[in-house]
Amino acid sequence: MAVSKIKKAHFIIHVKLKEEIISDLQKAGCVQIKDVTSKIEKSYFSHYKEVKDRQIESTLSEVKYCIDYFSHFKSKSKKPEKYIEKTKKLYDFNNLHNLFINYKYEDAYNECKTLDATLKDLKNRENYLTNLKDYLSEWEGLNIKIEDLKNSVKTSIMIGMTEIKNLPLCIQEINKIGKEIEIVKISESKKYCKLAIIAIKDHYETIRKVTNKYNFNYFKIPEDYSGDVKNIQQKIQLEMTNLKKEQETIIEKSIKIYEENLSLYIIFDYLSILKSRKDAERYIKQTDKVMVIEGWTLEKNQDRLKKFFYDKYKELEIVFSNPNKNDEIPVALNNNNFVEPFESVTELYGIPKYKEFDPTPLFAPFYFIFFGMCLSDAGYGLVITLLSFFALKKLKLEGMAKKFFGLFFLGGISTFVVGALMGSWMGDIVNYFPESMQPIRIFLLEKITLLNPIENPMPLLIISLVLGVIQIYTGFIIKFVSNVQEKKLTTGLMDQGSWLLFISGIIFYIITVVIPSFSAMKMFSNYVIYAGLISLVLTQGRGNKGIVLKIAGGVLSLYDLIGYFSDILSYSRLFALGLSTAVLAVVVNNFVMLFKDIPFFGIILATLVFIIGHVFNMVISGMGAFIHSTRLQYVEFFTKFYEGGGSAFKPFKAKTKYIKIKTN
Amino acid sequence: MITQGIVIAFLGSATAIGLACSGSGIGVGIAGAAGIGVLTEEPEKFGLVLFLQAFPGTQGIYGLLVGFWVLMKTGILGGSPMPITLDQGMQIFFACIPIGIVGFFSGWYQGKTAAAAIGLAARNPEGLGKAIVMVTMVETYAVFSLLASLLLFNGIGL
Repeated sequence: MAVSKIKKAHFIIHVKLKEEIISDLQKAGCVQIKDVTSKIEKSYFSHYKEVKDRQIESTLSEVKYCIDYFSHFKSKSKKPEKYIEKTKKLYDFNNLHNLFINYKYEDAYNECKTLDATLKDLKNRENYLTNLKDYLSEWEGLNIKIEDLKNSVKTSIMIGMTEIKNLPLCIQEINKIGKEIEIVKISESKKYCKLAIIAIKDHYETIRKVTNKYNFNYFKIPEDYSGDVKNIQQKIQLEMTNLKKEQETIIEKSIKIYEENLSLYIIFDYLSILKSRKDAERYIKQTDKVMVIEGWTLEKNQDRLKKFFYDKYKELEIVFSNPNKNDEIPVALNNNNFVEPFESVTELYGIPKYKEFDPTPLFAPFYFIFFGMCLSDAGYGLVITLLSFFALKKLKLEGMAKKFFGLFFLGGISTFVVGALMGSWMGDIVNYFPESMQPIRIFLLEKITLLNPIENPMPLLIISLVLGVIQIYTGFIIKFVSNVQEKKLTTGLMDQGSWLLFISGIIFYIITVVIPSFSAMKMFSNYVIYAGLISLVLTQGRGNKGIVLKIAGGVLSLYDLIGYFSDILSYSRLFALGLSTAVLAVVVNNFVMLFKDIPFFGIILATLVFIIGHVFNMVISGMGAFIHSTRLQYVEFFTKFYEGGGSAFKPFKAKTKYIKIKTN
Repeated sequence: MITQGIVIAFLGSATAIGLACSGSGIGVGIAGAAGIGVLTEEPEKFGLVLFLQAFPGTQGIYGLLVGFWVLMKTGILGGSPMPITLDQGMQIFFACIPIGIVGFFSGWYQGKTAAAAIGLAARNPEGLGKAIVMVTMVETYAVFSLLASLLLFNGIGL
């Protein structure tokens, strides 16, 4: 069904054609090249020599340097993607080559390098000045010129500060040293005192020792300045304004270069493509004359590939073969438009192995319904559908992102339908309709609505559990069918058959108890339960040795029943989450009505509360709907039959970041 | 009219909201601290980290939901409380217990699991799908207790 058929392909070509063929393979984009270097045994294949095109790698790193440098200014200017989209949407590969040849990227690179270096220097200088400014602000009271502080031939001047509590002792001790010392208090604050000590040179060392003892903090003289502290501060201020201006000019220059050199982004992609080709060469084995490219391709592409390469080259042979059992075959999923978005859920869990079947079409309908039941509001459904529709149309998404938006688009539709059936339109907004819209209200609430979970929650709970039973049954049946396909009919009958019989019996029994008209069938349901029970006890312990252990294993397996019933109960979350969305929406509407009665700006407040409240509820409940629907598939459904753990088919193709390449 | 029953109903509503929101607060805090750790090295993972951090937030919402439902159904929110007897008030209080207690612990522990999932998402983004399932396993019990609270409340018959 949905796992695509894969063929092994061998391209046997002349060495001369290596580069051309690799580039053509990349353009074709439908072959996954296999790494065979580790398996090379035969000696006639020469060992792979590291092909590193220095040219490409160094150029790429230089271009990347420019792009990184520009990224600092990108927010201040237009984005490269927009520019590229405007000029041309699709690039031809040959054009790219010409663009690269004619474009002098080195100029941009050199300019970026100088600008970057200057900018860094300016920033460093700015940091230095800011620190100096902060430091000097402590010394604002110093009215001496800096150049006067320089020591003369016979005297030295020491300026610094110390804690006031140390001051008397410190002065005392300094005075003891000699008579030719003058101590002047410059200023005093609560904790510190600033001092100037003037002494003849002979005393310098001794004073130094004493002051160090008292944690005397010397004033660091800013050597490259002159004048008093206030003067210096003004000079620094001036220099800083200049620095700012210089930085701005450099930023302006950079933005200009950035805008002139948007081609760099295209070059980056071009070089990345070239590099990926070089990387692919590592996977190839070759002799002196012949080389072999081994890879995987989808069966449907087989003829197209053959035609393309045979028409173009003569010295080439392509051999397609069926994959071996021992190969690790890559897996590509292939589903119709409805099912495809749900592949994202499968991929999150782990895609199937090649021999397994794809579970996506099997859970897609369940997921569709579950998502709707968890969110269950027609208004939210409509909003989500429209938003994801525009996202799909406008953003031109690919891969995983496209699938996710597709998932939300479908989920939105389901939410709309379920919400309408439960009469929930942004909560109970329909009730607030004015008199003139009464017919709409009656139509929405009385014609369309089937059940109202806020008034009467039980039916919805039962529906949730019934859906659970259906999905668990489906899981058993799928496993049974796959057992039959693998020619293990007896295993299927014993494992899944017994359980189906047993659980059906129990459910049948519950029905006969709850619904009186079925009570006549009670005996029959008992027989079904007994049959199931006996077959379970007889078969489930068959792996054990000896009759006693076999029976014991069978009896023990009944314990699984608890697991299956907790699985079914787990589906009650559909009810709880659906109800919580509805009730929260009603609460939001209640608040809106409270705010509406405030005079003057009550309407504005009410509108704000309405929008914020409903967006919040929609996002939180939407996240819950996605997560819990996913969980039900993973934990309750997949465990019945699915293994996963395959590796995805990743064809060798041009991967680009900024532009799109034309493909044939 | 304020009856003793209404007072007990207040207690119920406050229990549901207060306990469940505390649990969520703790949980979101734990997950957030782990998230910031990841963001210091990989700021581009902000969206992913925020998504995982939001997981333990749901318990608070469930608590709020039950609390508000009590207030709505007893007419307190509308400004005209119903004459609720003491017995009914006690019933309401007990109906609020499951989401309050379970919300508290489940929010707390989901925070721890979410923090671990954030760590995994930072190192190996491909394992994210499985990590989310692990985190959701904790949530299950909050959903069940919400269900229990709603069903218990529904059984009171106001």
